[in-house]
Amino acid sequence: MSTITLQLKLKLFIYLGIAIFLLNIPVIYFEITKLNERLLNLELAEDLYNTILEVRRYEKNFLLYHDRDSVASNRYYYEQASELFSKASAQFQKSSLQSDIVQLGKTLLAYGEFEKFYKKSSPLTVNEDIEAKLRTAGKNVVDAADMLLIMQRRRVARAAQNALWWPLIFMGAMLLLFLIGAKIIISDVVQPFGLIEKAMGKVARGDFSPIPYGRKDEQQASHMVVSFNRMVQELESREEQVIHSRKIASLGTLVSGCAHELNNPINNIVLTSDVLNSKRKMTPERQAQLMDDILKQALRASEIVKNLLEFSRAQTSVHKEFDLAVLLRETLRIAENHIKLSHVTLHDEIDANLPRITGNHQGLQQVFLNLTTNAVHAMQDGGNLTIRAQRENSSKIKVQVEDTGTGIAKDILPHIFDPFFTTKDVGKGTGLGLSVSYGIIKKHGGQISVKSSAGQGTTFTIILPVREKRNST
Amino acid sequence: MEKTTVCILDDEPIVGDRLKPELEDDGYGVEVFTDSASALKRLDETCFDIFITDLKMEGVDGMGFLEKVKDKCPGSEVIVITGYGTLESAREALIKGAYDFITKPFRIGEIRAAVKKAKKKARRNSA
Repeated sequence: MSTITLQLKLKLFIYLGIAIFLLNIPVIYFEITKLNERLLNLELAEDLYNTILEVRRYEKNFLLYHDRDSVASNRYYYEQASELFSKASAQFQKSSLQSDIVQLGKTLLAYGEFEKFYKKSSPLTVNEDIEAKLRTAGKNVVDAADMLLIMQRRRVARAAQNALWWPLIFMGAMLLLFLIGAKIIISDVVQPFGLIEKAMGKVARGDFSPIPYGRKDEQQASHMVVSFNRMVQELESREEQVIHSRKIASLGTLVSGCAHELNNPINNIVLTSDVLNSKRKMTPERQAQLMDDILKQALRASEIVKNLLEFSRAQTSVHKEFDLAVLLRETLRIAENHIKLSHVTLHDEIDANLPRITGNHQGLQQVFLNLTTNAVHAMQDGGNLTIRAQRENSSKIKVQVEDTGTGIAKDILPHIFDPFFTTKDVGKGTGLGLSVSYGIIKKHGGQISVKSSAGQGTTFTIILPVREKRNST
Repeated sequence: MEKTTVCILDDEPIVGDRLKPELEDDGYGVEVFTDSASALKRLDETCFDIFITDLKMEGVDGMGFLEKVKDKCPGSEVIVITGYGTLESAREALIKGAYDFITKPFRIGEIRAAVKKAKKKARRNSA
């Protein structure tokens, strides 16, 4: 059973069903034929019985009136009965009523013996002895015929019962077959479908765990479930590939940004060294300035490398519990000067009763400072900056940083979280701010998303989970 | 003979500061700018023989500056310098009429040689 495929199982059931149905037809035909035959024989037995009753009626008449007519009728019906008997004995010879027919034959023969007496007795006088014997013989014949009739009636009833029972038995077998087939379909098709439906929902949410089934159900697990698990595995590895290729793509941005950022200080060092190496005369002050430039440019290069390392390193951060509203207000205080100088109006819509959250305080401050700074940068000619923080539901806090600045063009929107991607001019932005922010929010199990239309402004939305205290990592 | 004039445009001040005395020693008249706006303003007044410009800059970038120079002073030659040279940007610069494309970091000697060659070309242009 275990290795038989579902298709084979269903085929087997269909063939079995057809076989039972085909077997049904000859059996029912046979039963009905038998019933029909027994009904005909019953008719014969009834005729015989009625004829024998006629024989006895004329026997009675004769014994009452002693007339010749009654004797003649009696003899006539006796002949009729004998004829019917020979027909019946041929019919019943091989049936279970053989003994009954033999008994009837004997009684008929015994009754026939009285014919001699009729012929001899003239005038027709009957002594009491003979009369009693005649009555007894007549009664025996009727009893035997009656017995035959009763037995045949029983046989007809049995045949009728059989003709009714067989179809019922076949229908029962078909029903049983149908139930087993339905059970197989439910366990092999419907249940796996249910499992797959559930699993598909999980896949849509990015959960690639296979459909679980124990070692011992392994052989019974539908091929569908096995195939589905294989597909999910494939999908998962594909997604890993996609993530990997995205990483490589952002590595490209990172490398080019890095090259550009590093090549400028290196170029400055090379040029200054060239000047120092040349035989040109210069004042000691100028020489000191060139030396200082080399040092400064070298430090600038090392700063870039340090930033890069900070970006790539999995920062070990201390998680603690704190009030997000307080953190947001602190951040705004740091950015206050910048906001005022840019003629930006600040709208504080921070709910003071936010639940406390557990997380990387410094990291989150960096995120919000970064978003605020970006927003102000986008509003060089002034505008409105709105910081909104509220409970989204029992397990989430939503923070929005909204500006009415220049907005982000549609074509660059997908790249803003890439490392080193920047629209700012050289020296003004490293292109790391948003990608670092993205990483920090993700590490908190949160989400960061952006909505922007060019010329209208930009809204960054951050969802942070409110969690029970968790172990700091 | 009149001095060949050179305009250096790079938002890194050290580049101009180091190149200016060296090129002046070679006999060029050199002016240095660290933002494209003031360089463009000066371009309105005069055509330099040779321009040296960085690509990535605030406001009008090196590619835009190159176009404006080629538009206003077709006889001048432009040397593009960049911190991150890609084949695409090099091709674009050359199509737009740049004379040379030099990636950072470069040696002073390279610039001097490039300017020297550009000078000959510029001379031929004006001749």
